[in-house]
Amino acid sequence: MVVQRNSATLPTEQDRLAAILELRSSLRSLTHGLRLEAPRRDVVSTSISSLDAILPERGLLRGTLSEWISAEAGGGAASLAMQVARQSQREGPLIIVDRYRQFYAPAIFAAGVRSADVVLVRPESRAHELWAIEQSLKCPGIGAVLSRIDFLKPQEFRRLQLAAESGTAIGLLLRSATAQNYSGWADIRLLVSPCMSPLRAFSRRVAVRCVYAKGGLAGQTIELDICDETGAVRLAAGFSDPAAE
Amino acid sequence: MKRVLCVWLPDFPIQRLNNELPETKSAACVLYFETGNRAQVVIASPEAKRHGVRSEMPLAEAQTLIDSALFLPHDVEADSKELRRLATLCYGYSPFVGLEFSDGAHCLTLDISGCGHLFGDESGLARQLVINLAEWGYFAHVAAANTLGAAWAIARYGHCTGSDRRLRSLPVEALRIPNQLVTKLREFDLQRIGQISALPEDSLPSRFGRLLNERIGQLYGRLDEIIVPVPQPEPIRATWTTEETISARQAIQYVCPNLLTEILNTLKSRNEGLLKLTLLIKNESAETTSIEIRLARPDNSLPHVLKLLELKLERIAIPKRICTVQMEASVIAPLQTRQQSLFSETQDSADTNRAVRSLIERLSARLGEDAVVRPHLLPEAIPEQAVGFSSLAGAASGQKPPANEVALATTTRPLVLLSPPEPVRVDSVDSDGIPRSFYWQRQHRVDRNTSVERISTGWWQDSGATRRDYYLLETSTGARFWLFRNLSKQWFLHGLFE
Repeated sequence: MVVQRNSATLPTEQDRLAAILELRSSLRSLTHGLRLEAPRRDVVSTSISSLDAILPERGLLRGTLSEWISAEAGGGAASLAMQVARQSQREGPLIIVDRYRQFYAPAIFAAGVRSADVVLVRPESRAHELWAIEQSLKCPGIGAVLSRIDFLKPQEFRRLQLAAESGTAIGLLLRSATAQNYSGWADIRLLVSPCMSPLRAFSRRVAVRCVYAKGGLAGQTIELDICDETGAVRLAAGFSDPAAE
Repeated sequence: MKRVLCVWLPDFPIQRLNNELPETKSAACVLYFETGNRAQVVIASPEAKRHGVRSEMPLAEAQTLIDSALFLPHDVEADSKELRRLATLCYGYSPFVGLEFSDGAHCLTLDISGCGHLFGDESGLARQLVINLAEWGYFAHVAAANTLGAAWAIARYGHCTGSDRRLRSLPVEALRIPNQLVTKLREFDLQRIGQISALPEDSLPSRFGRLLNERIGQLYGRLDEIIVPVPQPEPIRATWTTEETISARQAIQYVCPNLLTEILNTLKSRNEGLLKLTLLIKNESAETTSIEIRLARPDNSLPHVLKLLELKLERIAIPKRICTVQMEASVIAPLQTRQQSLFSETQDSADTNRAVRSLIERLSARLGEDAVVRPHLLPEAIPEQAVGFSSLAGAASGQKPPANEVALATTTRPLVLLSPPEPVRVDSVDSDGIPRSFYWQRQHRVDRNTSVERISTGWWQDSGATRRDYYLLETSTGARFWLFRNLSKQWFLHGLFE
């Protein structure tokens, strides 16, 4: 007996994809329902389309925290975070809380950050640092709050998350590799590791792994090339989809 | 060298009227002066001028030209009062601010000798002043020169720098002389200052009077001219004294709201707000502890200023045996001025802008004014000296970065700069002297490097002669570091390309 397979009744690839997207959306709604407030929030693109693609909201949500963990010193995590900070300046000033007085302005401005919309806060103690980040996150009209902060107690992290939720800023926390060992309250946790670039000049390569994404799939990794001359970031050639180009 | 800045406020009576009665901004306005049964136009708005209305024209004639215009009596007293008020506001830019009414023009004159560097340079000062005047509702022309006469002439008639050649090309009206004298000079076909300067000085007084020589002398700095300063208003103070000395912090916190309420009530009645508040705490030994609060915009909100004061008080040690607490409104400004933007165009909501200002003020109050800053780039070769910081506390408005800011920013600098640079152990170098491996926190093997960038300064610099050879090194893992070798051949890690 010959069985005729009716292709119309079987789910196609597109149906499967649509079902997955619907399930992801439901999952996001459920997880975001756990917030104190769940208003519709704006999404700020990271300005790197391939990085947006691995984030659940195709960017970073305003009023949330994201962790940028550098796998090793000199790894490029801050450069990528600065790209997001630049994007967020469309909505308001960028506040950089720099307790260690290490952020170097020529490189910040070279990343495209507008100097007129930057406030550098340089607290002298850890308590003041946390207070400054919390106050900045709470304030409406701030584009982004960027800070290097390695160790955070869970209750301190939660305080910052609540502060972020009550404001409009994106919280960008630059953290060292040890932060991987601790859980956090950030919506997104990205691990940035340096890679050897096959291009021998004019660019550096970094791998970005989405370690945790609230309401999304974690574990995806992309490799990005950062141009030395222009600071432009693009998907590394080996990973790009030729059909998409 | 003496430097004078002249601020000319064109059509000042009309500008003042527009600020006082905003509904007149869209209407044609004519201000007139009445003597006996005769009325004549003093000044007309640009809209009225387009219909042919001119100064000194009979009012009746002006009414026939444009009957829809707003005809109002000219209030000389109000103009003078407002100009004096603007002069007192300009004390933030110069210790001497005067007025100049030559040629019917309303001008402010500021002695800015040695003041320019506080705003970057003289252009920065002038730019900031023009921005502030715009925020107070006034449009102005400004010019700086070595003499009051030259600054006035350029502000009023010039579109140029104050070089001698340029001054000579200005019309004779730029000498601040009466109209009758101008007419007389024109009868002799003397149109430009240069033509008069070319004549023998001795021949001028007999034909044109002594004033002409005097003005030329003042223009070129041969004769001194002083700026008569406008008196500054009395500061608003509130004082609390006690016979029994106190030492408790709570007592200060109890006294401050009362003093502040007294000051703010006075300001509210004058429709003014605080820009700077000074609190002086004196003890029995006559030692004084001073606290200053700076605000980015005029404010007379008691809870907000009190909060800033409390944040500031947290940071200081309260002296023992206090006998007097004095509060003074050191700098005040009118409240009705348009809100200036601390940040560029991204803020469209006034509430949001206010919230951001309030945040800056809170951060400055608690962390200190030096802790809340805006970085700007400086044309210095030594990396750690290439960045300057301007405090945002009490910044009247966003001081825009210099034009060369973008040019100075460079991708060849690391995002993280270590201060001071950390010594590293270089284990091996190649034939060109470039490290092949170094130790900083752990061993790093260098895989790639850039060519050397030599940064050196002369012996006459404050820090002495410096010579550093910088290398951008990429390790075998892809991490990037910025190392330099100094004159003593020692290696230091100066930055990380995070």
